[in-house]
Amino acid sequence: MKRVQLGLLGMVALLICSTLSGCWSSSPVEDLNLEAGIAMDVAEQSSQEEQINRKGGYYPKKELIKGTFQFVVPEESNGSGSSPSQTKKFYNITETGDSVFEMLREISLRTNRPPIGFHLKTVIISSSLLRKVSLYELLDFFLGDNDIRPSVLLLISTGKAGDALQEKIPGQTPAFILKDIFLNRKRNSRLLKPVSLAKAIGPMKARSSFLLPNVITTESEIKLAGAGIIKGKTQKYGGFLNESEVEGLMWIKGELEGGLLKTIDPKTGKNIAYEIKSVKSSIKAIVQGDEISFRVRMTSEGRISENFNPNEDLGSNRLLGREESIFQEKVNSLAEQTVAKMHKLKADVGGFGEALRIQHPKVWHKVKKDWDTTFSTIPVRFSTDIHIEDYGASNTTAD
Amino acid sequence: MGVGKVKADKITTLQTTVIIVSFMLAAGLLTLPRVMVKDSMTPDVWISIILAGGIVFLSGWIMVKLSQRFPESTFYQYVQRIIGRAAGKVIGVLLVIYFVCIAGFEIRSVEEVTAFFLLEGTPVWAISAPFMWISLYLCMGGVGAMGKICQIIFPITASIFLLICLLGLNVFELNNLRPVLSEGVMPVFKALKTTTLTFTGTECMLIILCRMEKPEKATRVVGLAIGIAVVFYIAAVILCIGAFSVEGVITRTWPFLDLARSFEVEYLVLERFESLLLSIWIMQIFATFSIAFYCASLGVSQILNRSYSATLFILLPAIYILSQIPQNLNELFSLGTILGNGAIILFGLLPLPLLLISRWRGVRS
Repeated sequence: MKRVQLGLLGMVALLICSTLSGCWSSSPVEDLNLEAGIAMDVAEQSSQEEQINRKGGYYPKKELIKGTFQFVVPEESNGSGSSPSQTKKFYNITETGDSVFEMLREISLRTNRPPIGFHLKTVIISSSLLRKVSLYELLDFFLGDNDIRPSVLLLISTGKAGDALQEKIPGQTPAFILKDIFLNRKRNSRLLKPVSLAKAIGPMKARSSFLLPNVITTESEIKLAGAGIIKGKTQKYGGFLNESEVEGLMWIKGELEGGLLKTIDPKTGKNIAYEIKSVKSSIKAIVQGDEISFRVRMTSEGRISENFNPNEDLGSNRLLGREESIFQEKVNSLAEQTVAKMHKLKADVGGFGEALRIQHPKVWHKVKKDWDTTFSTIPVRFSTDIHIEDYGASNTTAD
Repeated sequence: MGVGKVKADKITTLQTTVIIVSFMLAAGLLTLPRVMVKDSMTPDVWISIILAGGIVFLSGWIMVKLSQRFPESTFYQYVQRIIGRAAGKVIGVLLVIYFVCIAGFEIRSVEEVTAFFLLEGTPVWAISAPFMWISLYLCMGGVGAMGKICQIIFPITASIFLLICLLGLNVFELNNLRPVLSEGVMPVFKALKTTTLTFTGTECMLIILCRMEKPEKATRVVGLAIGIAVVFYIAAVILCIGAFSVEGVITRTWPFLDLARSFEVEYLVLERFESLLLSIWIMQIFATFSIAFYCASLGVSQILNRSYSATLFILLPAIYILSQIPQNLNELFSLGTILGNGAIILFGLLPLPLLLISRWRGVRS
């Protein structure tokens, strides 16, 4: 009997131990301010902050960064459900300062719910801020923090970064929209691969140039358009690739998951459009003596989706062949245009340096120190091979 | 009771293998990619792992051969017969110190990582105290209980590790690992020492071989265990370099943990896997800690002829105090390096002369 009692007592003790130990540092999620997105602009005080400062809420800082912090409003579990889809699911707080960490902690004085970074999805930095401060300094906090994950997406904005976090679609959180737009990469060929913090660490540390997707905002909409260049040496903003230059870049890198290619048939003067099923590319570095050059081969398969000419029958191989060559020329010109821009901006963001590093490690060793400048004079040749596999359900355009 | 205990305190070949694997896979797994790349600055470090595996197998083989000459007794007992009572006791004490330090190092690593990533705000003693008490309880059960625990832990570890590696392919870029051997072979050798350090673990064969049901299979056990550890380490290093690139990986304090944090999976039940990784990793460290604790306590009890369970209770606070000595993360990492260097002397250089002396003097049980 005594042993049974003792055993029971032990079990109770164990149960208490296991239940207690689980909740030591727990904090209920509805008592936290979950960060969803952070936007950083050049400092300029918000009206709220001005009022706060006027009333004595000032702490010593060089005003440098204006941070817009987006927090998710935890959904209340009200069973009646009074049209929850239209209510705002987030709110923004703006804070000015010179250290991201300090700004975040200063917010803890303005709200009872402490900001917490577990669910941070997007960080948007304005290009004008990146002209003044290097990316590494801006991201230092995110890279070392224990809550914020390296999977956070990085974006640049040529406009005001904070605007991208304003409500555009009712009931949706902008930070999440920005992240999910990248799921549309298989529908559009003008979008970069998403750049997460993890992917930015390497180039930042190696001081090589790389791209961040760019977001522009209008009164009621946002759009991911083009890309901003982070220059290798300075890790500051170094120029902009517009949408068609990004399209050319995606062909050069062979990173397309889908999308389309549109051009004009010179014979008929009408649009023709090609839907991309797959793209592969290979960059070959050619070294002859001291001369470096690159040859890029791109191959693609896909289908004709639009052909505005009712008199042409896509059943004929001759026509398909002619259209293939029109598309090939288009790709080549897109790619050339992109490389011309890279040459002009003195930044290699097309993976040419990487190709040289892998194929000719010794040569790379010699030129890597000033690669962006060296690259600006290196010729690149393109060849494209497009194969039209089918033309969908209709072989002519209906008259 | 006595008879039953002797019978229970034997471990099967499989159990021995998982004990050694668990002893090898510990804190090193999370930091290895950074440490190796820092030394060599090349993505070819995976070659160093294979080479290090070979070297460690060689030293493991010597230790097995040595222990197989005395299949009835532990290292602490037979070393006194090989080189005399006093010198043998000194070496035994060195070994005990080594195991105590290993245990302290592991418990501190658990504290650091858990307090930073998993349980922010929980006092560190609350993390380590249950950990150590449960380990004490496990060690009371002897090596048989430990074998069973490792047998349970290892499949869980392996499957979660595999899952994380597969998901890690999401952020993997092969170009970060190319070209192979662009810097020549020298960097590969540079990374060899640090790699060998993380492979320490075969030394527990000196103590547990006499508990094996089939001691004649010990060489195969060591080979298999090292093989498994090589696969784990190579996977971790290749994936981390593939995700962060050579330049990026050296900036990460815990590269493998950051790898698990670098992707979000929306189609599986869990979106983030670092907590899973941390939990298996804590289990693995628990195994390492327990084995080191067991080896140290057994050593003290056999050198001083005291009861084994009393030594367990005496050593536990000593280990805890030791674990609190490093003042910061850097000191913790350098303690790891010192331990590795100690292991090279104790288990890389010492067993061979011992084996030769015992052959020459014809000592065997």
